[in-house]
Amino acid sequence: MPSTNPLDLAFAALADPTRRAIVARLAKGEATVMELARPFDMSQPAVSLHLKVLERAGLISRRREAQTRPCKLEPEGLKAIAEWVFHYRAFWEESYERLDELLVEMKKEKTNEPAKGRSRRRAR
Amino acid sequence: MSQQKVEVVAEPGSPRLLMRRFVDAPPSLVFDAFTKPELVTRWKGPRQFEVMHCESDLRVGGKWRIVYRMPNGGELALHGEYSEVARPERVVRTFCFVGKPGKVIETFLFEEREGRTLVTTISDHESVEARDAALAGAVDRGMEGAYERLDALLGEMAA
Repeated sequence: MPSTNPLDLAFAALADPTRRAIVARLAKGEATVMELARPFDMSQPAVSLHLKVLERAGLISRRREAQTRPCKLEPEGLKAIAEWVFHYRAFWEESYERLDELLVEMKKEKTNEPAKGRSRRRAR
Repeated sequence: MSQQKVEVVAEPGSPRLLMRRFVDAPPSLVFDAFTKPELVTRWKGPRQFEVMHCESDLRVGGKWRIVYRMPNGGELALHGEYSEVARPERVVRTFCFVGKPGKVIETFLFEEREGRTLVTTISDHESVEARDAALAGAVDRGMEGAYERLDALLGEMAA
């Protein structure tokens, strides 16, 4: 599904467990490709491919000046994701809590209607 | 009544995301709450979201649309079209973010279970990747703020 939507790119990037692990590692501070490859038991080219995906998604950036080109997290990219995550989950949990309240009211209204009708007749 | 949890089911390799939740009312009431704009406005969305606009032309080919004002001041607009309407047990419709690519087919099922209703919402995404991307954010979890949620996500990844 080719998409240029930044959120789509970010989510697609984070759908991969290795890339999530890389993001988690970078949350602790900058790291070079070599440092990232070590704990994951992966070749540097394989790690570089993952980094490219994360970089394109705006989740990380790589410094140009140093020869080792250390990677770091991009807080803005993650912020967008965090907001979206919040929507999705918050949406249903909290919506259903509100639905529970609404249904209590709807049931009350429903049982009150015939009662009202009776009292009106009695009043007449 | 005890707090109900939304159960999330996502089979690996499937573009489907399914959620189940019991509610304490008969299917006809729940169906109306899900489809009548004046009722949808009263519950759909987190409390800090203000529904600015809600419309629902509940018939096959009819359009629905909802616009929220989000806590950050931005607007969130969703829309789609009904393809199946069978009160009180079933509604099928498309779901899209206004102005964004991607389309989800949503199915709502309302089943009577001993006086209560089991609500099943099925979201069929365009691809497994699209579903997984949505799921990456929908991991079964409670209601933290956005940043706490991110911290947890990162902590989980680090573990």
